Amino acid sequence: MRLDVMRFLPLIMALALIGLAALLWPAAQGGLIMAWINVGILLVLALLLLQYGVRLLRRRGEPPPGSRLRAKLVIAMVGMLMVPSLLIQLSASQMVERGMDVWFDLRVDTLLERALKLAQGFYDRIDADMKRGLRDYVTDPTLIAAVGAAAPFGMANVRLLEILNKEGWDRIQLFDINERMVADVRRDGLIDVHPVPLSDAARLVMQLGTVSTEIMTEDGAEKAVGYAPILGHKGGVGLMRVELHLPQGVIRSARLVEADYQSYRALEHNRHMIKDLFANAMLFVTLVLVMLASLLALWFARRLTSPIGELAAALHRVTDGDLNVAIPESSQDELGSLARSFNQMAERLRQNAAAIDKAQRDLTHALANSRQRQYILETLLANLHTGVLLIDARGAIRLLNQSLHEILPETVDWRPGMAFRAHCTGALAFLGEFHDGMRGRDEAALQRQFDLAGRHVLVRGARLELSGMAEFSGELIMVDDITELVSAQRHQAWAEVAQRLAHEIKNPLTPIRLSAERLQRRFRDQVEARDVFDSCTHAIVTQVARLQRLIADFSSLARLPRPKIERVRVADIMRDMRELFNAYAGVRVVQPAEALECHCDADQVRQVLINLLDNALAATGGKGPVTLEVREHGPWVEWHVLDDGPGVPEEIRQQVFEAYFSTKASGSGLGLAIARRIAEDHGGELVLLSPHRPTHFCFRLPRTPRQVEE
Amino acid sequence: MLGGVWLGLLLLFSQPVWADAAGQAPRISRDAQVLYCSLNWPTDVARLRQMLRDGIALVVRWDLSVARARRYWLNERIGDVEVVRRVVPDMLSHRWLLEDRGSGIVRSVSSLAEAVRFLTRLQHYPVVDRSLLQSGQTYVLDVSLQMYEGEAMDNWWNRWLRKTAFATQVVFKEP
Repeated sequence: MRLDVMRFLPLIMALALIGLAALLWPAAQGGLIMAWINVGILLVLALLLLQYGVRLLRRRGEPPPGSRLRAKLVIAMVGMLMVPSLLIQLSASQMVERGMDVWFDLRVDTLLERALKLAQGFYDRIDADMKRGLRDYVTDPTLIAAVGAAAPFGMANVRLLEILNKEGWDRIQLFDINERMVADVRRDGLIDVHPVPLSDAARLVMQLGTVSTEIMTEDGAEKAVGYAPILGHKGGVGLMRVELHLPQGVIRSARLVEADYQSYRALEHNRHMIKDLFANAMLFVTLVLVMLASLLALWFARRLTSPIGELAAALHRVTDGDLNVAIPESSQDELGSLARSFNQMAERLRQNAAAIDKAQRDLTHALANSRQRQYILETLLANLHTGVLLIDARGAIRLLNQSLHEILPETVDWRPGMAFRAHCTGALAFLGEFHDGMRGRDEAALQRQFDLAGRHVLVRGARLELSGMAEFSGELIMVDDITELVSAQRHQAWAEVAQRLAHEIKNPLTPIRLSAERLQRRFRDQVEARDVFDSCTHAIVTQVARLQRLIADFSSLARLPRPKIERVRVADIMRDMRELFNAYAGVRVVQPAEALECHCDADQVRQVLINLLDNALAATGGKGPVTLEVREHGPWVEWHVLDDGPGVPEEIRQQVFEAYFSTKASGSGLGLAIARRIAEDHGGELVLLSPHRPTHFCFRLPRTPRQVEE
Repeated sequence: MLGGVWLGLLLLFSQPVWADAAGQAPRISRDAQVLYCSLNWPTDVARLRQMLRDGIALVVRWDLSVARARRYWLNERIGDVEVVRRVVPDMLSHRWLLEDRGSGIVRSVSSLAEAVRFLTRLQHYPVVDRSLLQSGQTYVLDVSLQMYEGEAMDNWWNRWLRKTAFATQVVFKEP
């Protein structure tokens, strides 16, 4: 089984995305929001792919037409975007790495450090100078006196102005121990003695007795503020606060240096985070681009593959046999041309299919008719009593029926396809000669009658010719067994002759006999040779009587009536026979069961039995033994007559039932013929089972009238 | 200008999250009216000192919340206090500007240790008026801390996304 990788591709991609998400999973500490966003996007993409992959795996059967092509297009387009994106990301990461190295180069670090030191040096110098100056006036007597209210206000101001000018400060304030400002001198000369609260730093200086400075910002400008205690003999007695406005240009530069340094340090501190941020930002952009590209690719692929999908679906329907399909021919490009071609093809297919369908219906109809005709022909041939033999133009047997085998048992091995002429040998040579005769003549039909060892067959032939079609050319030979017909014709002819002969002979026999008897009565006493006279007249009377019997038998054979079938008890017939032949001690009549019945003409049956018993007695010289018995044999009732006479010679066995055949000098030769005629008229038969020792005749009749009728 | 924007973006998206193991429980103290809390943030002080020395301003936000403990339901919030403290280094004057956003008090100190303590320690800080508490009732004091570099991120999304660097709680019973 071929593994369909495409079905697993979404799952593989989902697993790859999950693996990538695990790889990019932010650290528990110091994680970036961007990293979480990227991981979230990756997981969402993985989830979507996972869902799509599972749905793809659960789907049975063929995917929708065009979906594979669409998936391949999307994968190709996204892949084409992803590869350069990943390369760009790798390159950018390398560039960032290098840029970081350049950015945080040791020289930059040293440079910034030195710049900061320089700026700090300026402040330190201000601080040091201010502290040094302040220390010079901690024990200044004028100032001590001023804070102690021992000196006049003007003196203190003068002293402060001297200090101001000497130290280059911009303002000096003097506070007593109670934090009351006692003097305030500014460079601009204005004197302001409004009470100003001391700052915490100033109070701390007063408490600790040390010199302190601080930088203060006011109205965007910076100033250095210094505090110095005024120390008397008993400790701190006041506080001097001085201000020095820092030059704005220098301060701005120094603050810029500080800001740059701080920014630099902040960036350096977050150096790894910057790299991660950049990588994550790039990854975010890449993911967004990939998503947008995927959507765009999906839209484009759907737009591109939609006609292909429709075409594939239409082809599926055509494959399934549905030709009533048409796809929209919306676009004018190659796909539109393809759609138009497909629609034309489908239309032609529809027309061809309709034509094929019609032809198929016609063929089916014709085949049905042909089968019907074949069935009728086969049934006809099977039930036809005429043997039928069809020989094709190549001389091979094409067709033959069962009746042919029954009429000509020698053909029992013949089968269709066999060479006809090669098998016409022996007793069947006449068929070959007949076939040759047909082929050698111009007539389309030929008929001949053949006598075959006691049978008579009528062979008729017809030539089948259909120009251009060898399958339907050949000869049709029909064979009929006309033995019975010939026999019947012969019998009919003899019957007519017998009737006419009997009629012509019978009429003068009676006057002849009466005349002979009259001569005997009237002239017997008048003749001298009375013996001769008696002998002659007796011979005339006797012969006339024999002739009359002969004429009567002729009449009987010719005018044998149809049997009057009725239900007869066989025991009654046998009882009559026993009484009739009671005078013959050698005749033994076996009485059957009283219930045995038979449908027959009782008089004709008696006639047959009498004839058989007469023949048997004649054969045994009237002594017997002769046996008459009845047997039930299936649907038959059989009368068996047996005697131990000399029997029937084998050479005349077939002739004993023919009319006018007799071995007795005084016999008419019609007894057994009439008996057999009666048997056949009853639907039975009379046969010679054994020609001698014992001579055994069997007279067999059907028990039921239905069989008699058959 | 661009550098500032860049730095702002950097600080916005690369805001590190300080997370330390849960430290010691806050200590509760009371007077007649107010409940106070004292607590140290057990963090890497050396790292903080180094950052301050490098001139990086640091902001800590303490969130203190008092809730009445309920056994079968969510705790009932009684009150909460937000303490925002910021230390801005002045590298030129070697001083540290200590800003308490809650009170508005700004101090300048020259001691780095004091600046670090300002960030990492709450000393006897008033949390809730005791009139809101019931005697004999059990309460939970939750304390959480976030730390930022530069400025405190007070945007709504930052509040939503912020990650706690330190959290602890104490259960106490009001006498």
